[in-house]
Amino acid sequence: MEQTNVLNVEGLSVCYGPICAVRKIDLQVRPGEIVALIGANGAGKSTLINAVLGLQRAKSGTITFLGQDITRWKTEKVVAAGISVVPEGRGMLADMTVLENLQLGAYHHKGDYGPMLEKVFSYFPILNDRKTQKAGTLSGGEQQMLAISRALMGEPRLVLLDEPSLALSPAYVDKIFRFLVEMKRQGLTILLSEQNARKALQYADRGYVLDLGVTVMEGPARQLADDPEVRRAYLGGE
Amino acid sequence: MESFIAQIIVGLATGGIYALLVLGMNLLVLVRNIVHHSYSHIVVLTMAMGWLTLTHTGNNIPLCIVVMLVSAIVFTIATEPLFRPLSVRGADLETVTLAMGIGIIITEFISKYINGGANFAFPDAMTGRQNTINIGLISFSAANIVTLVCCAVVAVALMWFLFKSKEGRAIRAMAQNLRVARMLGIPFGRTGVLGFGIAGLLAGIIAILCIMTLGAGSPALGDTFAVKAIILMLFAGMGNLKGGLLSALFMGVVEAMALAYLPGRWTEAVFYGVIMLVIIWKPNGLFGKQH
Repeated sequence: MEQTNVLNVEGLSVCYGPICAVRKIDLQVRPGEIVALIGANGAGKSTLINAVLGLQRAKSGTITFLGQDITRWKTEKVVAAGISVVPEGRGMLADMTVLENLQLGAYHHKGDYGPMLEKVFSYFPILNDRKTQKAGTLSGGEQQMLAISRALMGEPRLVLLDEPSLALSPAYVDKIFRFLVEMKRQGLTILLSEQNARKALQYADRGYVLDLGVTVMEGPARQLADDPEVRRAYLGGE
Repeated sequence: MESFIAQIIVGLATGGIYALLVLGMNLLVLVRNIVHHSYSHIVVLTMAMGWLTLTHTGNNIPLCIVVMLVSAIVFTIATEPLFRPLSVRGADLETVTLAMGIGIIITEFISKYINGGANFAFPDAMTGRQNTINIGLISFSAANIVTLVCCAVVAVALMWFLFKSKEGRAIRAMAQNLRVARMLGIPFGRTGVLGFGIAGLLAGIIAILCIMTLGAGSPALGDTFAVKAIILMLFAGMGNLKGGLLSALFMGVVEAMALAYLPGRWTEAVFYGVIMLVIIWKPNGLFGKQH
C-alpha cells in the first residue's frame, strides 16, 4: 500500500463485562475517504467509535492512527493527535454559547483558532448570527451544524460522526451529508456510523455492515447499496 | 444612622468571606460534582499553619502569608485523589461522607496540636484591627474595608477565569456534561487538579481575610463555616456562582443586623430562619432552575 491508512483497526474486541459489543473487527479508513458503519441499533457502531476515541477500552486488538498505535491512549491525547467527534445526539453544551462550544472544539488547537472560526462561520453563517446565544436555543439542524463545526475547530485529520442524521428532518440530512462530501473534497477523512443506511451509502465511499458486533459485509458503498442482502435487511427494499 | 452604616460594612465584609467560601465550594461542584464539606476546615487548618509560622518565627508576617497560601493549595489538592474515584462513579452520598470525615480529622488535629485546643489569636500587626477609619461620625475597622475590597477583587478574578479563559471554559464544560467534555478532549484529571488548585489558592486568601476580620481561629470554626457555606449553597442553588455570591453578601448583612439590633444571641436563629423560609418557598434555591 502506497499511503498509510488514516485509521487501521485490527482484530478489535470491546466488551462490557462478559458481553462483547464489538468482536474481532477489522476496519481501514484511507486518506480522504468517507467510510460508513451501518447496522441496526446495538450492532456495535457507537462502541467502535468510542473505542477509537479512547472512551471505551479495547479488550484485544489494535487501533492505529496515521501509523501510531493509539489503542491505550487517553481521549485527550487522541483528540490532540487529530481525531475529533460529533457525538450521538449532537452533544451540545446547551447552557454555553455557540461561540463557547466552538472555542471548546479548539481546546487542543496549537496556534490561533481565529482563521478556523472564520471558516466555519463562512460555511454556516447562521452560527455567526447566533454566536452569543446559548447552544440549547438552536434548532436540531442548527445544533448538528454546530456539532460538526465544533469538531472541525481543532483542524482534525479524522472526524468521527455518531449517527449524524438522528432526529433530523430529511432536508437537513441531505444538507449535512452534502457538507461532509464538500469537506472530503478539501481533504478531510470521515468515519460515520449511521442507522439511515440509504443516506449513508448514497454519500459514502465505502461501508461496513455490522451486526451484533461483527462485520458481516464490507465494500464500496455503491456495491453494498446494490447488494440484495443489504437491501433486504437495511434499506427496506425489494 | 451612623452605626447602621457601620453595621452594613461589617455585614458586607462577613458576607464577602462567606461569598468566597461558597465560590470555592461551587468551583469544586463544577470540576468534580462534589460538595466539599471540609473546604472550610481546610481554611481553618490554613489559619492554624499561619499561627504556627508566626509563633515560631517571631511574627514574620510576609513568611506567614506565603506559608498560608502554599499550604492551602497543597491541602486542597491533596484531597483531589480521594474524591476522584467517587466522582467518577457519581457517588454523591459517599462524597459527602468522605468530605465530612476529612473535616472531622482536621478539627481533631487542630484541637490536639494547635494552642492546646484553645482559640489561637493573631497579633494586631497581622489583623490590622487597631486601625479604624472615621468618616464623619461613622467609625469602622480598616480590616473590614480591606476584606471587602479583597473579596470583590478575588470574586471578579475568579469569574473572569471561569467565563473568559480557556481552562475556565473547560471547567464549565465538565460541569455541564462530563461525557461531552471528555469527547472534546478536555483532560478530566488535569483540569480537576487545576480546579482544586485554584480553590486552594482561594482557601488561602479566605484564611488570611478571616484572620483580619476575626482576629483568632478555633478548632470549631471549621464546622461553623462549613454548615453556613453548605446552607448558603443550597439557598442559592448548587453550583450557581452568581447566586451564591449575592446570597452570601445578603446573609452577611442579615447576620450583622441581627447581631447589632436583636437582643441576646439571635444571630444564628435569624440566619437559618431566613434560609429555611427560602428553601421551603423555593426548593431549588433562590437562584436555582425551576424544574
